[in-house]
Amino acid sequence: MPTQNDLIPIGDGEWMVPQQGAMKVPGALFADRDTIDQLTLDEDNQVQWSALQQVRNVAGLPGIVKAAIALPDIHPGYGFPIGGIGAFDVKEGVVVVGGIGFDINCGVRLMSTPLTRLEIEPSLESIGESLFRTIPAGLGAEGNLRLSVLELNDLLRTGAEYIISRGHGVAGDLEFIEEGGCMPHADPETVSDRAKQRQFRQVGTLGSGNHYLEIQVVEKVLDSESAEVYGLFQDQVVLSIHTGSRALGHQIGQDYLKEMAQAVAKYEFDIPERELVCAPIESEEGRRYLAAVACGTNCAFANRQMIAHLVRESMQNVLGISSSKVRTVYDIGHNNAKFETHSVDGIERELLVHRKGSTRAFGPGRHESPTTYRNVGHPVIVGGTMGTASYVLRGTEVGMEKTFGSGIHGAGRALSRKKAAKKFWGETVASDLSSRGIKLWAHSLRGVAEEAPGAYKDIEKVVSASAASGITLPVVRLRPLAVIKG
Amino acid sequence: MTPIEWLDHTADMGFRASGDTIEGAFCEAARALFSLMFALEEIRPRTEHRIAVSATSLSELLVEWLSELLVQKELSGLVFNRFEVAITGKELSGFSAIGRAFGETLDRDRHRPGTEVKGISYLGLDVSQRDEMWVVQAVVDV
Repeated sequence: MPTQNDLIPIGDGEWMVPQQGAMKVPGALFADRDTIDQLTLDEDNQVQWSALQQVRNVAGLPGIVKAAIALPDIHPGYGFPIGGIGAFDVKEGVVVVGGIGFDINCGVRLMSTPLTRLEIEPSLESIGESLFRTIPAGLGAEGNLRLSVLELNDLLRTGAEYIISRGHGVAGDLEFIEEGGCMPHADPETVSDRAKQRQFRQVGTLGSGNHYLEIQVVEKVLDSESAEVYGLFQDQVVLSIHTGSRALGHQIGQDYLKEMAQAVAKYEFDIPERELVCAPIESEEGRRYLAAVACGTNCAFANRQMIAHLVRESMQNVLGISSSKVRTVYDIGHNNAKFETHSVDGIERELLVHRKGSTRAFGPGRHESPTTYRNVGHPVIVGGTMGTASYVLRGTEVGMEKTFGSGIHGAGRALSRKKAAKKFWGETVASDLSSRGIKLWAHSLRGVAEEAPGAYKDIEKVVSASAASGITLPVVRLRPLAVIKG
Repeated sequence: MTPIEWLDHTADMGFRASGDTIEGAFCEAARALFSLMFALEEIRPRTEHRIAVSATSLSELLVEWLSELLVQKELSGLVFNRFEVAITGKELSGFSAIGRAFGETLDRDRHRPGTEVKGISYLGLDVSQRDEMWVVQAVVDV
C-alpha cells in the first residue's frame, strides 16, 4: 500500500501525489498537515472509500490537464472527492457525471442588509420565525410557484432571469449571480420529462441535509479593501441561502449516469472506477449532458432567486426593510463543469473545469466576474457549520495558476451522518446553539444531529490552509445568528 | 447477519442489505433507502404503488429499483415502508424487477422527515451471493 512518503511536499500547504500506474497527470493537494495525515492514515488503514484514491482515479481520466486537484475541505465523494477539481482539454477530454454530482449547481447566495447586529437583535425571533414559516424547506415541502411545462422550459433556458420576470427580484440581482444567472447553452430538450415532472412542485424550495438559510453577522473584517468593494462592513447583518437544483438536478444526474455508462462502453474507455462514467466533451452524449447540466444550473440559480425573493418579503414585512436594500452580494455554485480559458505552462487553453464541492475562485481581472468586483476578484462564499462560522474569501493570481481558479466550498465533513447521528442528539445540538446565542428552526431533528457542527472539520483550519498556499484569501468571517434547516 | 448494515461514507450514505433471496435483499435495500428519509414505523401501508424496472445487469437493476422508488415517492406524494418484488432475467438478455411498494400519503408531522436522498450512485455498487445469502450494496447521495 502507498505510504505517506508517496506524497511530496511542494510548499506551504501544497503536496504532490506522484504520477503512477494509470494516472495521466499527478495529483495536487492543498491542505494542512492534519488533513494530509488523515488522508494517508485512511489509505494505510484501507478504509472502504479513500479520498486520496479518488484523486488518483480522477488523474487517470482521458484528456485531464496538469493535475487532479483537491482542496483543504477534501473528503470522500462518489467518483471525484468532495473538494475535487479536474480540468479537461475540450478536444481530447471527457465530461464526468461524478465530477458534477446529483445536486447540479448547488451553491450559496449571500445577501447584505443595511442593518447591524444590534439593530436586528430585538427582532431576530420574529424574522427567524417568519423565514421558517414562509420558505418551503425539508423533505416533501412544496414551492409556491406553479408552472406550466412551457414556463418550466423557459425557466430552464433563462435561469434567475425567469424568476425576476415574474416580479420576484430586483434590478441588479443578475449582475451579481455567477454567469449572470443563466447558462446560455441550456437545452430543455435534453432534460427528461420525468426530471421536469419532479420539479414542478419544487421550484423555490430549500431542501434538507446540509442546505440552510442563515441570518449572519460580519464578525470580523480581514481584508477591509475587498470587503468595501463587496459592500460588507463590521457588524453588518447578512443572509446566506444554501440550496441547489432540487429534484430536476437530481434526476438529470440519475438519467445521465445511465447514459454515460453506455457511452463508456461505446467509446471503449478504460476508466479506473465505475462511478467515473463519462463521455467525450465533443461527442453527442457529452454535448447533451452538458446542455442538461446547464438546465440544472439555471434551475438552481432560479431556485435561489425565488428564495431570495421570499427572504426580502419577510425582511419587508417584519422589519420594514425595502427589497432594494437587501442586496445580492454574490451567488455562486459548487457542483459544476464549466468551459473556461486558463493559462497552462504559458499557453492559453480552452478547458472544461469540473468542480465537485468546490467553487470558482477567480482572481483579479477575469471577465466572468461582475465589473464592480473585477479588480479584486469575485467573492468566494464558504458555508461553514451552523455553530461556528462561514467565510467570504477572494480568489488570487496564485489560485488561477495552481487550481484553475478554484476555492473551498465549506468546512468539509469529518464524520459520516450515521456517526454524527449516534454521537449528537438534535435537541442537544439545538440547546448548545441556543446557549451561544444562535437561534435554530429545523424541520428535522435527525437532520440537525447529522449536521451538528462537530461532524465537520474546523472551518478556521480549512480557511487558513487555503490562505497558506495562497489560492484564496479571507475577506470577512460571518457568524450565524439564526439558522433555518430543512 | 442483520438485514441492513450501514457503511461508513463521510459525505453520503452507504448500506448493505441482505436476504435469503435476491428479492428479499432488494426489499431490504428499499427499506434502508426509505429509513433515511422517514421513520418507517410511522408509515401505515394503506395503499400500494406498482413499480416496474429493467436493466442489463443486476447491479444496474438495483440502481433502477431504488431510483424508481425515489421518483414514485415524489410523483405520487406517497411514502413507503413495505415492498414486494419479483426479479426475472439472465445475463445478456437483461433483468427486470416488477413489484409493489406499500405506504400512505406523506404527512410531514407524523412521518418525521429525515434527510432527502438525491440520487443512487455507482460507488461500491454490488449484488452478490455469499454463503447462501444475497447481499446488495449501494451508496446514495444525501
